[in-house]
Amino acid sequence: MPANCTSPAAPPAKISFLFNQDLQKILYGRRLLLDEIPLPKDLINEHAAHGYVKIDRAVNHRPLTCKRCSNHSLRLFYAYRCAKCGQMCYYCRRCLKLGIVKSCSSLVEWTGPAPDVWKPDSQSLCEWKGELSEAQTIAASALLESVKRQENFLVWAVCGSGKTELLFPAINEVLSQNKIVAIASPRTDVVLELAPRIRQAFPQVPISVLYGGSRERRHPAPFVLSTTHQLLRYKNHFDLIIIDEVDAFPFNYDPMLAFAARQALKPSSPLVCLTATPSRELREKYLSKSLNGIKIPVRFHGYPLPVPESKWVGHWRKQIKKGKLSPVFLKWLNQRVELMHPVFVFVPSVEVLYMIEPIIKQASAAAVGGVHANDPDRHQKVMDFREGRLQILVTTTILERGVTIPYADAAVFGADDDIFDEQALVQISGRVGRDMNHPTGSVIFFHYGVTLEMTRAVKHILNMNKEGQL
Amino acid sequence: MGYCLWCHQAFQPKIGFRSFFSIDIHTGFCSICYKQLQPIDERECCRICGRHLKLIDAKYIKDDVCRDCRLWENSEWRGLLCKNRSLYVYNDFLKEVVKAFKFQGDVALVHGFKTDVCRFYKKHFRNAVVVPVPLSFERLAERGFNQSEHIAALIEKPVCHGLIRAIHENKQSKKGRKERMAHRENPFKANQKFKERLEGQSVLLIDDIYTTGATIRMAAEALRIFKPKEVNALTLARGA
Repeated sequence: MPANCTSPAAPPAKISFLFNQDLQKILYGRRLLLDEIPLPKDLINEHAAHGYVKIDRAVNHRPLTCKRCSNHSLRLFYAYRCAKCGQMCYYCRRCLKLGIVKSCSSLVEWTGPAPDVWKPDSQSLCEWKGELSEAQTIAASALLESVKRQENFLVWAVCGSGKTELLFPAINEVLSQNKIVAIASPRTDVVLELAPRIRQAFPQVPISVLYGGSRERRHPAPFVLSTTHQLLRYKNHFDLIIIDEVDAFPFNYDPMLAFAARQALKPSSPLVCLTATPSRELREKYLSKSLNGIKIPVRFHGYPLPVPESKWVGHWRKQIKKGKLSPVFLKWLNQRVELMHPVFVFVPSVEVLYMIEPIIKQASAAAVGGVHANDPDRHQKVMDFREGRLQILVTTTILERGVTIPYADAAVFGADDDIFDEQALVQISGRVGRDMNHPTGSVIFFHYGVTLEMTRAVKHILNMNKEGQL
Repeated sequence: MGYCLWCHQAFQPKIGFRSFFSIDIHTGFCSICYKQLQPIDERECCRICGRHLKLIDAKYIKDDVCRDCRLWENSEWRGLLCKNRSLYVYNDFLKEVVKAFKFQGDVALVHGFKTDVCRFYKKHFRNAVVVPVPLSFERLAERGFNQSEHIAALIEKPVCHGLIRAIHENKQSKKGRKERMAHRENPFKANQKFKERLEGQSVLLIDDIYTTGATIRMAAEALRIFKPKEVNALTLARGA
């Protein structure tokens, strides 16, 4: 049997039945709501009668469970008298953003034969011309072996160690066997940043890029780049899923997304997690050897991570309310501006962002911009910063990962706030010194009292640097 | 402990006798989300349409009435609508909430407005008969629920279905102002079954958004055959 075929579930009742190829293409490997399929309902029902399609109620009532996202928390359901079915209808509030799942809606799966997704014409699809560093090579071959053995894997690599590149051999292996791969990330920004790099490395492979509002959707494609949410639309489809930045919000706290990844994989196919700052749970699994993995403590250019400094700035909340900023902070900022370095200023919340942005604008001659998660011009502003039209970018924690800007320095303003935990602070420090030609830089935590998380973050980085020297 | 309907974060709702004895798990918005709503000050709004007067140019205001309402009152629609009161300015945050509520179908969100809707009802429209603005049969089948009905249900008074929307039109939210204002056939009809309950009463129409006032006035006109004492409206948002 060719490797790409899942065995068709039930043999069709009538051999003479000709299935609709459009339906097969839309539905193969996925699980969609009946309303999401742009084909007539009669056609789908006819396929169901012949065993080509499985139609299921979308909500289980006893116990109350959403079959798409496995939500069974009572507070995430709500019921009202539905005008469509005339009954009290429950709907799931957890996966609502992907289209509403109600008691009266149905989920549809394809159970017929698999279509030809794609045929690779050579064994080496990867056309990436760069070279892997020593540490990367070791990690890449460990990952490749693990994927061949179909085992889960953790890549624990410091920020800027070139995680993406070391995936290429493993991805190439799976794709050349005519299998299907997905790279998923909890953050749209990461998906957007990955897409052009992947397209360049695998120019012959059809790639589908999925996030809320994306244009490059095609199905079925052998290579899918997606947000982790979108994986809920797949079932039993992928031979390898790689989750980038697995510790990022909301993956780290939302059990739905872990469920989505497991569900989208074929049974016993491997899940690979990438992160610079694994959660305690993941770290323990790795250290107790119940999860295979590899640690890369050095960056691809071989220089150590910049170690953050802490600077006390007094009661910063009170100061910004009065429209003032600590002279310590301003001195550092002006120094960086004179050096012509781009500067990230991370702040704990949107309110602080709104207060501090005008003060910085006044105090500094450089071009200043501010971004937060709901900023409509967010992508434009990040682009401006990347291309040097903005020199200082004030941001909430949304840009703590996935953004590479050469020569950048970073400040965490109000590092004592609860939102900056160890992982966030390590990620922020990882924004600095990512360029081969400028492997150092300045990271400063401006605070009003050192927190445990700050100490942990510094310790984390020092440990990594120590390991990297061995 | 409750969970915010909007951001799903755990928060501590205000404790009172009502919350203490209730088993309701849909408790409302947390204080951070609630703060993003922009309530309309009752002392600074247009006497008729309830629009926030601080947000429009002073030259359009005369005797606490905005220019739009003066235009309405100088036309054949004079006096049909006694007053509209909206809870909040239709800002970006509320637009997101209404989008999730109306178009994605997250009906539970309506409970976040409960306290304010009840407060407005008691303050301005006590004892009025509550009539939600209906949807056409087609739209109801498409959406599965009528948002106005769910807002009206928050008041916890018997609701009177005194109106029928007989004509199916394109969505108001997809039309421009000119199209909305253009004279069109009244899509509403009075429901004769409720003649006795509405005759001579003061009526309160409930809708989600007041934008130009055309929908509300057409509904009021359809009710005219019952000769109500007055027709008022309560809406979640006053669009700009």
